[in-house]
Amino acid sequence: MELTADRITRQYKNKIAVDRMSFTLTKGVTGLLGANGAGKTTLMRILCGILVPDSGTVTCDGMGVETEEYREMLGYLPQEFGYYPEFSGRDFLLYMSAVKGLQKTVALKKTGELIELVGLKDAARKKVRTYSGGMKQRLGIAQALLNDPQILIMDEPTAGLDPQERIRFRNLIADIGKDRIVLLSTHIVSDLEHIADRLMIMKEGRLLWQGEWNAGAGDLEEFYISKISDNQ
Amino acid sequence: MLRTIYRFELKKLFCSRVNIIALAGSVLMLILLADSSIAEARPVSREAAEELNGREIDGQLIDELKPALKYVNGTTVMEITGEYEKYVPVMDVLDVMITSIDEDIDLTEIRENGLYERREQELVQRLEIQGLTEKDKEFWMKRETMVQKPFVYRCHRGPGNLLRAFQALGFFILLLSAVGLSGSYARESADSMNQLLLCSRYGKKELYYIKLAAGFTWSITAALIVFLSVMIPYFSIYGLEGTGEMLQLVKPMSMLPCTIGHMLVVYFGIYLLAAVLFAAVTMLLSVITQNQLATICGLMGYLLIDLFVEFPDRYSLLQKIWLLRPNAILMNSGFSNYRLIYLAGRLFLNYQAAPVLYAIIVIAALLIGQRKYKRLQVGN
Repeated sequence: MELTADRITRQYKNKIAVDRMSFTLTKGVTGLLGANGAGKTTLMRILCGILVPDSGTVTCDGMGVETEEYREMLGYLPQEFGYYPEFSGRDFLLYMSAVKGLQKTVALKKTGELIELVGLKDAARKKVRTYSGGMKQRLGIAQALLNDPQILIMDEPTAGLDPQERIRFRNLIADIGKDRIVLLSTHIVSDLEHIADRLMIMKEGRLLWQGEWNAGAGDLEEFYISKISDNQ
Repeated sequence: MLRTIYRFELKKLFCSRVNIIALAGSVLMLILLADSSIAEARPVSREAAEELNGREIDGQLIDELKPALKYVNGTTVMEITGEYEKYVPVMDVLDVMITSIDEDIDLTEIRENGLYERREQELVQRLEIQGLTEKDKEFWMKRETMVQKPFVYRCHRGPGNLLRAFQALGFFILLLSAVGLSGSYARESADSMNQLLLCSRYGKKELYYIKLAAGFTWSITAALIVFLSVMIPYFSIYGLEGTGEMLQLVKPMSMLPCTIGHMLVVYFGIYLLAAVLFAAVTMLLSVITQNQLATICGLMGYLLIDLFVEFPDRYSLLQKIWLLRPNAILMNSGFSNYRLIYLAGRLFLNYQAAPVLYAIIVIAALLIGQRKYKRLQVGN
């Protein structure tokens, strides 16, 4: 399976958020690095089909991102989003399961599994408004995984997680990435160091560098800074 | 799955604190409104009402009342003392008639069928002012001949008060739609939930319709609850008596030969359709603006226009359409609109034509909303 972006561009008024980016994502974890305002979130939204590029196309094995089939195999965790305060964590996951098209029995099973996986078992029936930031983030991760997505796009997924949870989550992503396309953006470079198979570095809407990344290749932070500096 | 989404959409609406407070507040206000109209009503003993039941409201009855009547500062008032206490129920009807025909009528001067002659003169004048064609006038005069005269008094306080309450109900259902449904699409945008929903399998198409269904359910349920909050006090105190009596006991200037009960059913139907109409328009605004406050402001703006704007007679077509809006039909003076609507060569009364207009608006709102929803994007 391949997710292909072909010369995609998106402009907001006077700012080009994504500038003629072309790349192909295959199975494995791809880390997306870039400073704030580099265009990472805009790129991810375009890949999820919730933002239409001004030009260019995104396809998955020839299938457009606007199709129901594509959405069926997509999991997305945005950087920030609200929850329904009147819902419990379990309600929220059941609701998202239904919107994602999961059968009721599958939804119940999957919800139970994911609640356990993200460590929210004791709080599952509590209202989301009582959750801490970290708990909400874990609930967000759980919803992204509900439909066993073949394409998983996560925008700053480790934000708000404590160090122990971050390590647990990193391992989980590495495991998922073995046979799926995972695109993960973060500003915490160490989160990617050990799990990323590929890297994409963005600056001011442009794709500065992309290529394979080997965990033993050295310090990722230094590598990232050197790439950014080379371009200045 | 779709049923599960519907169930959760209902939960969003019915468990929302703001919606619960708005609904509870509306119920409370309407109960107080019903209670105050009951408290303000002149007390009537059941025996007195039963004694008058079936009495024609004619010159003879007015003559019996005359010793207790006085004409003070352009108003006919009755001194409710002693033997005249029993005439209170019929005086209530006479008060409504006088107010509807001409507030300056001096009842102490009225002889025999003078009151009905004044009513007919007023009706002819109104048909003239409203610019009705000869054919329209003929239509109404034919119906007027079918209205029994003199009017016959029957107890009708329960259904009569309920019929008058529809004016307030129409206002409350607009308010509840505005508060309850303004966020149905806009809130997803404000809370950034659109990001998750629009990239989910059913989030781009099916969710739009399910949200609509949940919105209509909210609006109709709210309409039924506020209706019951008025109906229960009136019917538990006054009973159902009077449902089968002539409409003119409540709306003296109506030329429709029908009963209060008949008109209650018609009004109830218009009221429920209004709930659907307001829900559809609110949700359309919610999709278009993606802003809850802007949606509420839009609807409150409409409410102000509804209350204060009237089209002059020279814009006949616009005026006819404008008078089909729910609150124009449900308002107490709605019966004094005699303009008729011609559709497909047939002639319709305003409450017969209104559902057609509402259906057109609802369908148009759904289609425009769907088109807009389909094109929704995040972050632009």
